[in-house]
Amino acid sequence: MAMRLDMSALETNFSVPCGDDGDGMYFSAEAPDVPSMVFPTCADFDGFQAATKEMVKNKKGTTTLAFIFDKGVIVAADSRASMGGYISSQTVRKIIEINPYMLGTMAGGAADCQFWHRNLGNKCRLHELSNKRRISIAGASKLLANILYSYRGMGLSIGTMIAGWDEKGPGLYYVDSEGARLMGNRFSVGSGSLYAYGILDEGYRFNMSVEEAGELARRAIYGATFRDAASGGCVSVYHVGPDGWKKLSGDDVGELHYHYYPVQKTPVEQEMTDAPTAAA
Amino acid sequence: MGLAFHLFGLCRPKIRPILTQQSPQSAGRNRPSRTLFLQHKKIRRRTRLPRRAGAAFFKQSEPSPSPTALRKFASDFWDQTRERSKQTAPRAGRRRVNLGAQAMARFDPYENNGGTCVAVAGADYCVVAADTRLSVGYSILSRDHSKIAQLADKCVLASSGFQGDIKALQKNLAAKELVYEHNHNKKMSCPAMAQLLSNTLYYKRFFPYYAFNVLGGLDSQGKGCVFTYDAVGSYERTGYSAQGTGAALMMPVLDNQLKSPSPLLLPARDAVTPLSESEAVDLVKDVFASATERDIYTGDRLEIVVINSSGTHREYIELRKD
Repeated sequence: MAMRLDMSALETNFSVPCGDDGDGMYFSAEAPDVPSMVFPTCADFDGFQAATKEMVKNKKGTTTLAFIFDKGVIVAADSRASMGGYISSQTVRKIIEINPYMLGTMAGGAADCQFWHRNLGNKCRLHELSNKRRISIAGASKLLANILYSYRGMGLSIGTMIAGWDEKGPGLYYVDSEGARLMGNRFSVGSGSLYAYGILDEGYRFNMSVEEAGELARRAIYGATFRDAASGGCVSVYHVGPDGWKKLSGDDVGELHYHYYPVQKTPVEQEMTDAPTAAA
Repeated sequence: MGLAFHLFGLCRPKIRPILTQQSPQSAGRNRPSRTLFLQHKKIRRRTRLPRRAGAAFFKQSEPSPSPTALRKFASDFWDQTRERSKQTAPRAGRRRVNLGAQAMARFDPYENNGGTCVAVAGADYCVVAADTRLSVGYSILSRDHSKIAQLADKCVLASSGFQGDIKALQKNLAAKELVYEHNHNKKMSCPAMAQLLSNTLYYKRFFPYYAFNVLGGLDSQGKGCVFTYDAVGSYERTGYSAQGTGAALMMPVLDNQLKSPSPLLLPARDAVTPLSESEAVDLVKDVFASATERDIYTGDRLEIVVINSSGTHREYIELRKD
């Protein structure tokens, strides 16, 4: 029989915010499925969070979008991460593959999104194992929304869309760290979302081919990267259908620009010729 | 015996009023006796009379001022102060503080000790490097402080930020790696360590480790891998990365020399660092020498760890020490 080492000494106490008693947050000691968070030992939690915000804020600018159409869901995003004016990465995966039938997008804090989507992936897998069927998009988004609501006001920054295909067909939910959870069939999140909405709303139809829909999403994200300095890098487009998600395209914005605006050969009005020599 | 009892708090020795003997220097001044002084001190405290105002009182009053006189002096003092504060408008930009309230202590657990870390991954190697300077503000605390920790056979962590947090983080990871090793009878792989580091950082999301990490090593196929982090655990696998105070100076140079097609592209393009191991080491030496010219927190010595199939080896080169 395999012996397992007792690791309990390395674990920190579970502490989950479970309310406010007037003097400040208080934390519960029993909630074993929630990761053990460490909290600062100071009276002024809000002040401390405000002070540490500077070092925590990574990736503020983003453009992500998702929409439902007759052949499934399209999810698209850029890939830039910035800290103030400095581009910290151009290759961020903002579309997180939660499982083969579900995608999440990330906008807001990079670590918050990454961690809680990973956590959601675990929860969805556990649901699958205990119920012998995949979790619905509604259920998954509610799991995330409930977690985020329990941390409300503590400084998490997440704006996400949970998109996928379940027993009822395509599903799309918008969930954010303020506690919102909205069902809809067209969303865009992030600093470039307004530009993306402009193109998306203009070109959206319910009946489209997958190629058309993918191209619309790509153009919308491209448009946002063109106008929003905090968005850029690569445009990734995914489609989720009855057989799960598939990546449709991934293009570098630098090259995509010349796809939409090909360099025009300027007509040569007059061929240059050698100047006539003064001699003779 | 009396002293012993006193120490154990069983009985208290009587405090005898000591009458101060007037020294020749203070002969001319009005000095109250010790008892009177203690009595007045009590009143001064009760009336919150500032020490300086109390001293003024003793200077102007008769040789042995009565407690009543001091009480009267104190109430006059506060009346005058109140009048004065009414006349003068509160200064702009300055908060009026309640005299009775204690100022809240600031909770400020972080310090930036500077330093820069770089990692470059190749087809079958990984170079991890960091300078050895440790500074606070404009002072250099150490010129020979390693920022690199070997966490597993093929896994090396370089971190800059606050040394206290970095040490705590390294210990935490080393302990978890050891437990993993005993449980699974193998060393942790680099991608596994990467995920562990991410979770470890995020568990302190509300009280972060002030540490900016680069993890370098070889993956299970023996390919070089670099993972780059923010302070709260968002991470990404890349081909090369720089973190710390000199990162913004080094990254553009590394981009220029090493940038490969994005892994997000479809159809995927081959993304392998085109440099040989020795070329990569030379590049790392160059970027550090350059950053040292312009970053005050980078310098003194460069510690380079090269990880390849034959194991890890360390080398040092000297950097500017100014």
